[in-house]
Amino acid sequence: MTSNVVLTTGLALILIGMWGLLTHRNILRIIIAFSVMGTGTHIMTVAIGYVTNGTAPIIDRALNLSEAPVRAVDPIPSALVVTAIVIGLAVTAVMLAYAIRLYQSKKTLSIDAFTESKW
Amino acid sequence: MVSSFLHPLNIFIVGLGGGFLIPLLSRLGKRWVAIAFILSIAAMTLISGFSFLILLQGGPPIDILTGGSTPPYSINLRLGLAEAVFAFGVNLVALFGSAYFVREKYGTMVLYLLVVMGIQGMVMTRDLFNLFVFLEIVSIATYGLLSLQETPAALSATFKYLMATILASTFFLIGTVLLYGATGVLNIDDLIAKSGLIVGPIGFTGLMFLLACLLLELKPFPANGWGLDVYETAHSGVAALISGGVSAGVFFALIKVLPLFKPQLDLIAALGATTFVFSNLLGLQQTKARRLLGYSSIGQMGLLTLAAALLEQSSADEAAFLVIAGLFVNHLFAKVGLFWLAGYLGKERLQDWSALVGPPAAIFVFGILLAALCGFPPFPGFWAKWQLVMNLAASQRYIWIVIVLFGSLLEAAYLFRWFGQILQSSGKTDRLSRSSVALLPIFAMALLLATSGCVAAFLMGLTLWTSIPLIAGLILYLLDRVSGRTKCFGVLALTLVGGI
Repeated sequence: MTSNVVLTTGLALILIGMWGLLTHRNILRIIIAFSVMGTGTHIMTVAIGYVTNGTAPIIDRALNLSEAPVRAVDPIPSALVVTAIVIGLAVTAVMLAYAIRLYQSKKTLSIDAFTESKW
Repeated sequence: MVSSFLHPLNIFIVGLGGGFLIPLLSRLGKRWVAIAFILSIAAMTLISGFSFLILLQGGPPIDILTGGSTPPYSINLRLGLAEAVFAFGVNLVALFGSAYFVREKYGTMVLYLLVVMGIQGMVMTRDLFNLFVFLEIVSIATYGLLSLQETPAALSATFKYLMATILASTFFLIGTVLLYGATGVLNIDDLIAKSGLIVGPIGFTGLMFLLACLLLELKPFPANGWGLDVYETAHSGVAALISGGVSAGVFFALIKVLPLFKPQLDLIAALGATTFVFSNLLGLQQTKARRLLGYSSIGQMGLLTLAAALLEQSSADEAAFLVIAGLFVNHLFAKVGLFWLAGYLGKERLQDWSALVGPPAAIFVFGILLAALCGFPPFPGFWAKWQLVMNLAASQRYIWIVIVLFGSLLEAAYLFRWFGQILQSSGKTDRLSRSSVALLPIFAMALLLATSGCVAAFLMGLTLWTSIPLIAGLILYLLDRVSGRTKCFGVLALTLVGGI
């Protein structure tokens, strides 16, 4: 059974991130909104694999083979979330690099200054 | 021995290995870097080409299982005939396109290699999360390639591209996780088999996020300004790679998961149709060449989406393969060739392309690329549209035929208006000063279009007789000095003979 509190927190963070994306016009704030959304996705991923009163998926004295399917936390979402965090880090780094370049070209971080194309 | 060297898994080994090797070789000299870069792409092309030949001769699909176990305990990749068409097509284009990157810094070459490898991964993988990883590899490498242009317009266009694609990939991740929560599997084939479990709010939300990502990545109308700006401002080689290669990877991902969206197929087809018609309608008012090519590219992706959804509905697998492969190959070679031509010319306004009239070969190849894009015989786009229309007629879906024909008519209108404009304004602009050697990859695209058209005609059991309008056009062009009346009679006679 998944943890509803953690799942709801994750979904709430995703929505807050989306709201931030839609309402802010400063590039750094937009990047922060993306990070909040990404964190929400990661929390949601972990919540999907969570098992109430479960334990780590390591078969030993504390968890025997027959109990594993019901008591062990699903390891796959944990593996997925590690990959997703690494990818999220790379994407944020690229966005920040572009933010620096945009700032150097117009000396501002407001997207309103970049009028070459419609936003 | 040979088959183990040419195993499809080696595409990834070569891609990643080349990526590691190029920075090391940069210490020896630029020539070594260029050699390693071209050899890596040539090896990937050879591997996918070899697999394509085997599959074309009726070989079974090649399955790659990681860790020696079967799904769902492993990630599997598959190279069937459809995958091989996409992978080989993209590799061929990347090989010819590498000519425009050999003088760039080694980092650019590494990124180019990673984009090409990532597209192969997107095409071949059968695991939803692995698809996300390859999507991100392609996206991040593309962001790097887009930094080749440093004008404020290019930077802001790239940032918009970043925002849209990151939003799309976040949607993909949310969709993947929710679908895993609903079914407990990540393998696409298992997901399709267990699609009965995708019910309730979690399953439905997961499906919708997945669909939203793939449709957003295909730049649907009207949410496609971010894609158009990149097509207009990026390095022409990068714009060509995004238009032909990255879009192909995303589209193939959509085809793979399409059986999950059976109840939404009408919606997907309607979105494809809207994009196809409105992109071509907006293409009519464009004055800048690369923006026009961007609209045409987005329109073609709309047509592919429309065709895939409608043919999935009618469960016409063989027809679906011919239509999708034909449309894809046609768009890939023609659009990539046109973007390279845009880079070769360096002219922004449509009428400035009259510089092409100088070398006769250049205007000839431009005409071929435009004719192919319009879906004229004998190019593969014609056979694909023919098959699509026949299939739609057989299932009495006439409204979709009208949409396909109307959108195609609009596309032909602006492309041939452009062609006419160039011919009329010839001599008013500067002549080309660049060497014709840079035109060679573009000639190769024209040649590939003609070859693939003949193969498509052969596969569909049709004769080349249907290419008579194009041959007639060429004859009329050669007989331009003859009086108008004689030419009119000639056309009428040919129409009569063709009709009989």
